[in-house]
Amino acid sequence: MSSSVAIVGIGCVPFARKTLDESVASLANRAVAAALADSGLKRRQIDGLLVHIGSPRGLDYDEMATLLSLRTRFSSQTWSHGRFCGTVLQHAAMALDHGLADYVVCVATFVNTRFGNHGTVGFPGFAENLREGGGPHAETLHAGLILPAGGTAMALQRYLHKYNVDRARLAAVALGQRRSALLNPLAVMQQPMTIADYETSPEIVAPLRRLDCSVPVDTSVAVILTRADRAKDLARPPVYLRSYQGIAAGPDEFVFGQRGLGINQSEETDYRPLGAGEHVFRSGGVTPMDIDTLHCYDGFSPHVLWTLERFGFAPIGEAADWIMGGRIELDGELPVNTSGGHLSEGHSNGWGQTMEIVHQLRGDAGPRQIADCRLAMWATTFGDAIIYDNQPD
Amino acid sequence: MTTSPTDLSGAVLPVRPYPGQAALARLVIPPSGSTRTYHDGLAAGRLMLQRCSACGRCRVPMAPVCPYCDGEAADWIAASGRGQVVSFVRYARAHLPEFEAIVPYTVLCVQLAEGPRMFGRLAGSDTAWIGQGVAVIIEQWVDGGRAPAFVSSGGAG
Repeated sequence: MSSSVAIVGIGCVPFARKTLDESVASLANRAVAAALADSGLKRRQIDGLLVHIGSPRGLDYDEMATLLSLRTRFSSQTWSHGRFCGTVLQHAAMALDHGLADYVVCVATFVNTRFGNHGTVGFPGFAENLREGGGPHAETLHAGLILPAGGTAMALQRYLHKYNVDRARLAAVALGQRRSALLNPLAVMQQPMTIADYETSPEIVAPLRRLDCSVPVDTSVAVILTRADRAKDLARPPVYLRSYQGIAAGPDEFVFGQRGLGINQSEETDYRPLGAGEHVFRSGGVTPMDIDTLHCYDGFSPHVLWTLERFGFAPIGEAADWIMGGRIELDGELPVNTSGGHLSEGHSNGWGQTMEIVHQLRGDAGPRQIADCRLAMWATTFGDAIIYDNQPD
Repeated sequence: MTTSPTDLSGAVLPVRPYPGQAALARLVIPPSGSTRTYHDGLAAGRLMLQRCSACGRCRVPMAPVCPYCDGEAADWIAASGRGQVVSFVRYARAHLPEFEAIVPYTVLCVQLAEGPRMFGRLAGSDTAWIGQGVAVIIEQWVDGGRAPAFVSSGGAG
């Protein structure tokens, strides 16, 4: 597949674990202004806007455009959940491909610290817990199954049993990502993590420990995309979207659990991942072996294992063994979430990983730079993916 | 969706007070015409399950289409109340005030004898394991609301 669309600018507000004394619009504008400066584009050239996470944690597309003086002919917004980073970028690519816009800015702004924790009464989305199909992460309030961690913990317990996985090996995900975070000034978790820290970390929803959980942050991130023909004339090296695929849904899917576990899914099955047969690999003309670095949605550490399996990097049920020996760390065979990811950089709903991919493919990731990094991949346990390439073909 | 007239015959399950001394209303979806059989069943001491009229498989959650055969017609049966634990989690603390009086507590994913899997709290015990046999009970909360939960049936399911 020829790469028709590229990321040409990124910008963000430094991730914060405390409430910033600043309006949401001002935060969003700081990110947009930084992305414009990065790309060399002027504000009036932006004619497409895609918003991820709207009011009240962020800004909705209409007020975003109004308050940031954006004049767009293509504007859209996704549901206020973290899962849509890849989808937002894909919608931008499709809009560009169809000529609906020439320069699209994707903006994710979220001020989590101003509200109660996700899943509790003070969280803006509390009413979603009572959706007819269960909460967005299998929340079932009358049963006491609460918080996004609950569904993941339930799936993890089944996964450990079904595949006879050694629970202790999961530590490698949190420990490895923390080691990378220590090399990333944007990361909010800057204390080294030891195996003892991990093993004594309290069980929030057992079998998940606190250090298996991502760290909420307040931030705004903006990413600007354009078509490849326009991209090459801009300030920074383009990062092309080589291929992509969307989120999978339906009775056999649970956003925070591996397919086939039968947790919040119609039934338990003998799941055989497509791996290299996934659309994103076939349409990109590459295989998992070709990927230089993987970045995935890690709301909780098991999501990394399940993404490795879903996309064919590790055999089903064996990811916890596969990652042993530093295999997914910076100097390993497949560096994963080299920014520290949601677990240690901060839960940016995928946007921190997207910026990290851009840095790795531009070659400006500093002490985290992977040598000869050409193909980087975004992928999630819920099935969406983007393969990025720093070459146009 | 076509739904046959409500038949509330079948296993009558134990009804016990929810030990947390809390109201249920904020934690459940109010009944509608599509789910009234389920709620009427709880009031009558039964766990009603939707059963596809085409393939005969029961499903959870309630839905207008069968996830196994896409059939749109369904009737209802009363669950036997028997099931087996397929997964469980344990909450060290309460994240909603309704659970403050009962922490720590355990939530189960149970495969019911009729086939579907359902989440529910483990009542009256702290010990859960995969393969454990459990039985459905109906808990009555202080506002009169009722919801299913599980108790250990003392051995492998």
